[in-house]
Amino acid sequence: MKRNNKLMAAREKYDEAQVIELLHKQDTCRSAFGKVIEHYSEQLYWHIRRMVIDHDDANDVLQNTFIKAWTNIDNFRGDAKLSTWLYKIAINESITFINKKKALNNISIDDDDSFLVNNLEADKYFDGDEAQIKLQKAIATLPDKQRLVFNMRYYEEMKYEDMSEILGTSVGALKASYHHALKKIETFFENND
Amino acid sequence: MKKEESKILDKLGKNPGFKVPENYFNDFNAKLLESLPEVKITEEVKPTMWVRVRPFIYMAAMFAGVWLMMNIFSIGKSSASSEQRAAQISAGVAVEKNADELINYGSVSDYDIMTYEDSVYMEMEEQKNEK
Repeated sequence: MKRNNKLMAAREKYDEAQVIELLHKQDTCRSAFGKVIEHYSEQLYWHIRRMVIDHDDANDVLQNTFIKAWTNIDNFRGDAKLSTWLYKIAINESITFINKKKALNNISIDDDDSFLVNNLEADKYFDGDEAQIKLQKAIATLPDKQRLVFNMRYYEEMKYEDMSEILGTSVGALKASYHHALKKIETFFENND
Repeated sequence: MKKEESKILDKLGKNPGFKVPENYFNDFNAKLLESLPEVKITEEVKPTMWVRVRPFIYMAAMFAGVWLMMNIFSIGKSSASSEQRAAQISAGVAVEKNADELINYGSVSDYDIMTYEDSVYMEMEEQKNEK
């Protein structure tokens, strides 16, 4: 309860408009970016982790995401929300990372991402049961975009309108994508009973 | 949201079972902030009052110029046409038969005729006085 109160207080202190203003001044940009990291690192980590599955990989991708955001901070003029911009970078970094990993493991870029879940049982930062492993395997069979939509909607409970801004896809198409993802996951469970 | 989901997912819940090392996020944030390279920020220069109002002043000046030019040209045009009309009338009177045609078919206004009649009347009065 105390921890929750502290988190709430930290979030209340975060004023995005003020942070963006400070990001555009040479003498305050670093401290402002520190606030951005503090505010977004956890939610971006979980988003990346659900994509790349492994903790160490998620750590690397998260680091790359923030470094990319930092080195391009001068190009961010506040036209879009900071969260939208960071999510876009995180998604690009995740997909680039998965494709590189596929290439390293001699897996075709057109194949699904099932290989990411192969060693999930042995991961020391995973304590899910058989059913959770099965669900992760089912999610990994989805195409990247469907996987993103499913994770953002199911785990993050993100609004379709916000997803639409991040992914550049219409709300209708996102709803259809989520529906297809659900059907595929159900089919996976039926076929692997 | 609920009605979109399947029975399978309802049973599984929303915790995928992923964990992070203890104090991971605090350590990550601190290490990352230290490792960030130097960047150069292009600070936006706030526009001065003159820069902000300049387009409106230019636009107002342009409209004022157009209005002024229209006035100058319309005054010149109207004075030129008065002279032309006076010449028409004089010519018409010199040849009397043309006068009727000019009055009937020419572009002579009632005002022009009245002005002409007044000038004829004045001439006649002067001639009377001289006698």
